[in-house]
Amino acid sequence: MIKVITGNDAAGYGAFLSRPDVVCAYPITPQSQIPEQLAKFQAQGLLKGKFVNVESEMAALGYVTGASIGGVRVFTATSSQGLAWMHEGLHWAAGARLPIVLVNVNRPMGAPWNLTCDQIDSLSQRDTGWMQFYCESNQEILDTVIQAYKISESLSLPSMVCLDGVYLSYLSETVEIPDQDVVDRYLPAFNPSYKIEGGGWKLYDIFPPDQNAYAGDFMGNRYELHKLESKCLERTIACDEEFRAAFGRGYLPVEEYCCDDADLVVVMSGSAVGTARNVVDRMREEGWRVGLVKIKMFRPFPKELLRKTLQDRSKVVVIERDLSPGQGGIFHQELKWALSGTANVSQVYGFVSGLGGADITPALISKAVHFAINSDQSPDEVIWLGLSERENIDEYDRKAVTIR
Amino acid sequence: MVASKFLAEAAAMSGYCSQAFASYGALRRGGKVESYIRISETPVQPHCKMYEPDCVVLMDETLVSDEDVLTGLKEDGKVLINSPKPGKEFQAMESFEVYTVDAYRIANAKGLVLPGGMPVINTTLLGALLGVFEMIRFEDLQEVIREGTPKAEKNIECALEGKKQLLGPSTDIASGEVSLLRDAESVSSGDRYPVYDPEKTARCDRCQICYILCPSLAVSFQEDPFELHVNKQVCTRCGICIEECPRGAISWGRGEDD
Repeated sequence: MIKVITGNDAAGYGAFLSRPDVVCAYPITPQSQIPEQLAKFQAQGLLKGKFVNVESEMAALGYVTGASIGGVRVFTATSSQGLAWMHEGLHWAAGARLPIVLVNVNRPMGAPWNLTCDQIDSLSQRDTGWMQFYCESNQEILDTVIQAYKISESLSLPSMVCLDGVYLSYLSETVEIPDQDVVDRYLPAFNPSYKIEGGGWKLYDIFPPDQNAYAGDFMGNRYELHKLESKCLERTIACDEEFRAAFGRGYLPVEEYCCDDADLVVVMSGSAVGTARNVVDRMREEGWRVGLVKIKMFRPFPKELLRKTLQDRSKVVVIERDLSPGQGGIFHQELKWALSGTANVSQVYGFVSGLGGADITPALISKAVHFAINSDQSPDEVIWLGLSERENIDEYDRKAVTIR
Repeated sequence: MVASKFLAEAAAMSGYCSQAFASYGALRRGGKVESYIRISETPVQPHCKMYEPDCVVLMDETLVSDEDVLTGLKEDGKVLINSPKPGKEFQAMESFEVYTVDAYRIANAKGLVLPGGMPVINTTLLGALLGVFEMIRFEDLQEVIREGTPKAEKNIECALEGKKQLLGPSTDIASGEVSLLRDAESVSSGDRYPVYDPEKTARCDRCQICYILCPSLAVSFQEDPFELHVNKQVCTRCGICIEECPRGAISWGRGEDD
């Protein structure tokens, strides 16, 4: 069935079609429509699982954590300050190896108060051990939620599915809603290898008896968590292949667009990737050898794939919607680290743009690309793209010229 | 917002890929809202605002005085204005194809009016827009309206009437039934802003309801002497402060100079 739905609705449909046994989410702008829709499905008798109202995000994650320990499929969703309030629980869920799926609608962290879009909320949770997937379109949101259950449950590791606030959460577009029986075949009922039933259990019991991880081997637990990296990537690719076979579409952890002969590659993540595709098309028509790489999977960071894709390019342009103040963009840092050991180190330009919901326009993307084309060496610092009335790229251009 | 979603849905039913996206401050009826609709035979990729539209629909005639509304409109672009006047009267827009429809009159005539007296014009304008772009089937719009609105039949009648009464770019100024019966108070407030009237100052008991209810945080106070200010940069002209002031101390005016 083709429907015109928002990103929030797409996330809700993705969760609904995955048949969660427990849904528990606290509403927050711009995520509220996700629990609203699931509550509606539950009231209509369509959603067979339990929908639980709680008093906060921390309680929501606590509730689904408990349910997940009990061996059932769970769903929660949040955004920004709500995700931050879940912070300690996020570490716990990953350490306890619970296959929770959480949808995070990317919204800036206050202050100043802002209800729109950037990705710092979930990127700030990068060290919790959760897998993180960033979506480009509403179709991808729906599909990724379904995929995330399959990936998470096969690895016993939680997934965070991220979508840009406003630019996806409130944007309506055509989405194919798959039939329930096709989803059921792709994602059978959850059958956990280990679970706790009944009362009287202790904290130690959340791991199988042979692991004894909580009591004796904390470092061993972290070692296992760390070593999951390559498995996560393998499982993500395998689950996507299976998804393609069943649904006729799919999403790679790292996707190349027009990259075959590209000297310069733009690297982006999230909703603005779509905008960049059009910019690349246009620049290709003008004769520029420009390509685009979309990072869908941010945790674990697919460094091998990125090395393979990016190492022999002369220039790499990262444009991102987040900032580690004083340091720069987070994708930029990670990418430079990933490329640091390669034979031919590309010049990596780090642009920060679109913070606090500012639009990443086709004009800005092409400005960034032309900046990189015209400069001899990538600067060591972040380049601000679309910063009004302060240091902007034009000024930077002049500075760069004088430095040379 | 609703109109753009309906149009995107109708386009999808007619076999296109479509996208609808709105940009606003605090969303309140009467405030200025921009929404963008992309319709394409191939999947719609951009997820940003729109800077080079093929067509601009102005849902209130007072928006004509806003200099920014047609920025970026393509050279052979089309404009649809909710206005009783034919397109030729909008001389500043003569380089574009200007269509008009008197949506307030149609909605009023069909009784599609909110309790406060404000006519609901979404479906009338959508009907008219389908007269401008014939790629979307009217039956599809009808279906979307039937599923998405509580007063479906009235809305469908409005859409039909909107399509029928659409005035094309070549409509002569002299011809056409031009009705100016529209009640100015019932429509959106255009370039007027809430003003704290000094003559009514005595009425204000500083209850701060305007300050509390303003969805855009545009209202501020000054002590000694007591003054109330409305920030024109932030105000969306939704009129909530005027409507809700228990003392009637705020009214529409030209606004404070910046």
